[in-house]
Amino acid sequence: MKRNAVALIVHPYKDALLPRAVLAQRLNDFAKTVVDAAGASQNVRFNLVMPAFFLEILDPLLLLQLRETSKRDQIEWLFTGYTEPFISFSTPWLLAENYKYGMEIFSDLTGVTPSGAALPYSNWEPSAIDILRGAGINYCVLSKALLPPHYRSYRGYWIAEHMGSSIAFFPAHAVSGPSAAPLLDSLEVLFAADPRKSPAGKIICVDLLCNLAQPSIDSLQSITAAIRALDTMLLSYQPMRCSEFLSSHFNMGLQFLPPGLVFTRDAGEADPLFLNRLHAYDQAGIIQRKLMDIAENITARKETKQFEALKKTLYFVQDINRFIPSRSSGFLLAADRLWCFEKLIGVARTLYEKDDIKGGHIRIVDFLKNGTKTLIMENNTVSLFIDYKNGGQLFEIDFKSRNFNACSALNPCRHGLPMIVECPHSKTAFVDHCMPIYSGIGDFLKLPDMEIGDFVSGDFGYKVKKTGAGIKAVLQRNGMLVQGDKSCPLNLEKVLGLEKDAAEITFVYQLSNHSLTPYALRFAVESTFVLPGIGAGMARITHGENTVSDLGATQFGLNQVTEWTLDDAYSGVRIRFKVQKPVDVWCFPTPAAQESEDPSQAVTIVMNSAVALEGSKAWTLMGTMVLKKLRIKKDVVDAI
Amino acid sequence: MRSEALDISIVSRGYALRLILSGPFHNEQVGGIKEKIGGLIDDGNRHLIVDLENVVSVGDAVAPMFLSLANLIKGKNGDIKFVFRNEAVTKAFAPFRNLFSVYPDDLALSTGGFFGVLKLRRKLLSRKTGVRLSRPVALVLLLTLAGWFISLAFIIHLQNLRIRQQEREMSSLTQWKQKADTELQNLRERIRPLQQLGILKDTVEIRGHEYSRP
Repeated sequence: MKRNAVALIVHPYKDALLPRAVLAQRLNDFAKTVVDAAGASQNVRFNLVMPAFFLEILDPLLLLQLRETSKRDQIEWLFTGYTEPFISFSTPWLLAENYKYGMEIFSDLTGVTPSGAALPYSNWEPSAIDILRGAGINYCVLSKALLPPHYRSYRGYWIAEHMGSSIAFFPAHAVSGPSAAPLLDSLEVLFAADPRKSPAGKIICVDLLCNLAQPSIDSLQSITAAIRALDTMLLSYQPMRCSEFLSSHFNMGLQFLPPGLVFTRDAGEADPLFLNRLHAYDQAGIIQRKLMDIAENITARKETKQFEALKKTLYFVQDINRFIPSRSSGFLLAADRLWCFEKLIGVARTLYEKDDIKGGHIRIVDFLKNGTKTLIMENNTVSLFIDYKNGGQLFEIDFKSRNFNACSALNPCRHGLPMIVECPHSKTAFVDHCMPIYSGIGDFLKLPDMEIGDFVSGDFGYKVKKTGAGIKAVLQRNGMLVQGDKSCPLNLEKVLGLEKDAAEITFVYQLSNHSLTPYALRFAVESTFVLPGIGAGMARITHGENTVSDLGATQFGLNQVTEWTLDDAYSGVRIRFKVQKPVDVWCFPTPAAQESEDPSQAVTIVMNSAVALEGSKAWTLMGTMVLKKLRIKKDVVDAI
Repeated sequence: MRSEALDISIVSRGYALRLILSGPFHNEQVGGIKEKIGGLIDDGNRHLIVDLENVVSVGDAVAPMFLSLANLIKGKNGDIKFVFRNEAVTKAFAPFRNLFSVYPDDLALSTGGFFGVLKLRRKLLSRKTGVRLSRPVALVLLLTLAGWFISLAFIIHLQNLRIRQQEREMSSLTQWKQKADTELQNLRERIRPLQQLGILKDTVEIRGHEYSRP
């Protein structure tokens, strides 16, 4: 009787940012374990998955030993791409380039091209079949959780088909560390669960995960134990490489797999609506949109060979681990998020410099891909992203000299609807509130109950201006203000500008009362800035001689000031505000995101003033926000 | 939204302001775009370049809108140029083809004065010949050529000076000769009565043995 097959897939991965030296050490330990185990059990054939950049870091001697093992036909190489790209969040061009580059690196360093791919987090997109096939991939390994429940007990491989394109895939049992042993012990039961009565060969794929970001002796020992266990079961089961089984057995049929993702790599269930979940967070969508915008920018250029280094940086930002909310990695962590923005702003800055633009650039594009335009104003030092349909707020302020996005704070709660920026909950800048004139610092926390205007998430009209002095966006809304129990008309004009190539944002607010009724209100402008130094006590706010360092814990107010400064020595950024009229400033620690253990590391600044507006009169506030470099003190998070 | 389908990019290029439009250009967007471009003209921008190459479809009100903008900017001593060669835009602009300044691409549209033309020429020649010169090599070649031209000009200048000097000498000799002839004629006139009286012999005739008179 023909023996059933077991395909062991040894799968190291790195989900968190790691310094290169640390990663190299852990990779070498892993490779040594695999080489030793393979040497001890030479009759066991198995599969080895790696992103191609691991091979660049691996010790050449260990790589040579792995190559020797491969030459003995003991292992089969599978890959995930150059990095572990998030298929559902990537443009087809960038995904294809990632795979292409990954194949080149694999071919150069291992001497073979991988014939299969293990998709990270089993992230499956039917529309990506052509890209996978185009890269030379013949089959994929996915978690069985992606299959409909009644097909999960079948032991074989399927053909995934979509719009005339098809690719083979192996459903795998994803296990991590010590949980591999019970699975291997229960192989007989698992094979018996297959309802097919035909004598056709069956296979069980065991995707043995090994997290290099959180290494444990157990996880390395489990690799050795799994290979040894298969060695002892040689008479009952045949350890196989995936392509061997593919070439010697028929598939079980066609299987349509909808887009899916398994949020924890070894989870039992997939989430087909994962995109809705991800778009209910603030920053994941913005990072993705920025990545897509830059990728489109590079694609539109003719000589793309000049941009290889930039593309390589994009491959790392494209990594799925940057977009999956988790306790140890992903955009919920400020360090992870800021790292992504740092890389993306760096690439965008290089592209801008290549264009040799003087005096600023205005773009009116569908940056958020939600059908409405975003105003993007940029010069050599600053980029501003204005959502004029959503309260005229700035959802991104890039300080290019430090590759720092000052507006990358997280909303403490997920959005009710899957939208990338949700006003007023998203922590953005230049959000305009109208409150009763007697409101104090405590009343601000009662918003939106204390709101008497409709500018927070209102639709603004806009005009753009480009002169020799710089670029400006003029946002205007004819809104309403509640006075007593009446709704009264109030016109708000907000001008945001950049002065030539300086890191200086000018703002002008003008409230106009076109009625004859006098108005009284407190006008407040809310801005939230991410200051990663808050946790380490390296952030502070300064007004004259007064300095407050405990920004993460206390709320406080500054009365009738015209200048104040936010310093963050960790990221090396200073934000200096200067207004022409004295205003009150309230400062609040931004609450941390509920789903993260990471402290918020952001501060909300509310610039406010009591406004008594006579009939047919206007009130104006002008000011500047200047970004400057400080000496940087942060550690290198990820050297890759 | 149909009224927001068009992407706009505004950037300065040399002395001109360049607007790059991409996406579908519906009639619903005409008012908004006209207002935006009108605002830019009001800000003092007198030279506009509108790149429509990436516009995928064009409403029938678009070309007349640009016509009115061209009229507006010409009234302010400015100009508006268009860059496109795609079918959709070409078809929409066909009735007004001769009223607009249309260029097929950036190469045809030199916007940088002498250096701009030089730059475009450089690119064109580089593409045609496949020869690319690095800056130091180009500088050495430029200096060599310039030195050669300067030497040539110096030699021409020296020769010119010599010719002028010879001209001056010739002129002075000619004048001296004319003066001497005149004086000789005067002397002859003065001694003629004495010759006629026979007091003096005609020395010229005596000397005629030596010099044959004509």
